[in-house]
Amino acid sequence: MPPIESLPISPGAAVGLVALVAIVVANQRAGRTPWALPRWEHAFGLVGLCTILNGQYMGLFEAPRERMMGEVARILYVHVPSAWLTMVVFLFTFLFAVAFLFTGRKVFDQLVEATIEVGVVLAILLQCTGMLFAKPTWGMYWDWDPRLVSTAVMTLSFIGVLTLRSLVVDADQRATWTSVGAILASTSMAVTYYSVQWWRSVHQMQSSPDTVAKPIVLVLRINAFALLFLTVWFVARRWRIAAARAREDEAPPLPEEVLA
Amino acid sequence: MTPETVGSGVIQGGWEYIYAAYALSWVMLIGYTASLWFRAPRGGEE
Amino acid sequence: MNEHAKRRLFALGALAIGGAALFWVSAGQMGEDLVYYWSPTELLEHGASAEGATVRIMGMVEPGSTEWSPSDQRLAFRITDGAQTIAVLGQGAPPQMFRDGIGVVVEGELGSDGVFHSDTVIVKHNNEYKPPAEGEMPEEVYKALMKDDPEAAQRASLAAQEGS
Repeated sequence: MPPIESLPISPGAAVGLVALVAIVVANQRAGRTPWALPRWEHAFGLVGLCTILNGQYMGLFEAPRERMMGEVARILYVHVPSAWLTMVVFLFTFLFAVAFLFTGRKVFDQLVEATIEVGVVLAILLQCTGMLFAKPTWGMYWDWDPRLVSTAVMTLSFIGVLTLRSLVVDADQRATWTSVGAILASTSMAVTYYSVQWWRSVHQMQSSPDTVAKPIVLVLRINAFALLFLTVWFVARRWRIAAARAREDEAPPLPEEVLA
Repeated sequence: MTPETVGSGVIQGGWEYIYAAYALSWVMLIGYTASLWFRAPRGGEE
Repeated sequence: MNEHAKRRLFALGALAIGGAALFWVSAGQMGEDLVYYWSPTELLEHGASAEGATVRIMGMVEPGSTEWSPSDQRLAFRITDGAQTIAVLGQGAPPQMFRDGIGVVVEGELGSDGVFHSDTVIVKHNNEYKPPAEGEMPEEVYKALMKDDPEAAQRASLAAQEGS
């Protein structure tokens, strides 16, 4: 495959142009402002989609082979961004949970719900791509290594909080217990992050631009920003669902008999 | 892996793992987008 | 107590429990007896009591020590932590990244002959990711190894490391 600069148009730009034309045409027909989007977060979704197409193209076909890992190092471009974003999203879960318990504002409770679910999705992606990376490099999919175990514990803790949330009937209690659970589960996130420093692990320490060559850093950054944009979109969309459900809870629809 | 490459220290090939990882990322992204789509609030919202 | 005050109390309680748990874990209260691997020095310190127990040890593959015979899938090498060196005997091909000077975790048991009998070799790589240096052919390392010339293998290995 040719490098991305020598393509007539990059995959992301092509998809972006098609999407823009579709948006403008749809808005013209409906008599709206041509560039209007139904929700602000869709701008993030669109930019994220285009960026990840280019980022993954570069990761697959343009990024250099690694000295020792050869082609397999390309898994970095999906594995590392998912790790970063898992941590960022769960960090926000923690902040929203503290904010909810101290202010009592419902929007924070809805954001806790949204960030936990998106974080769990990212964590599952993280763990699965990690296994696919571990097999050719380390020689095994899974072992009882501190980093791998703490990541699994973190994922399961947050799944546990979501389960707890679905079991509590009263809305106020549900919100309180979700936030308390989220704060406790956040402990496992910190443990996961520091596991490679606290314990002996087969997983290497956090890498930095000093330990990674420039062309690899560039492609990593593009993929990380792409996933960041998509994550903002996911969290916002998930938050809309949580907010709509909260409104339904407060104002239950009239029963069928009354309407008839 | 062929026994002859032992000790080279360099991974040969492995594209099946790479394609599996990239494919998995799309399965997750599209799958979660679909789940958000089906649960999205309807009527008057959008 | 109203709902608001109760929530704040819950928040402080959760933060305190979480913080205490984190402190306990980071202070190493659970880490010491639960190590993922030992170093060769630590294993040998246990003397004869270490023999026969299934453990993992981590060390560097001593340059030039690798002997691989494809016919019977026998893999012999030495791992070192700088202070102590242990001979390792394993079956089957190691992961492809296995080479002189790389960190490995081997799982198995120390025999009474002082040889570590391993059934699993895991490669531990560092956090450096770099493209090959210009004109560098890491395959040269392997060719030198195959010629059964440890010194040449060591030179090639060192050259490859300097190239990074």
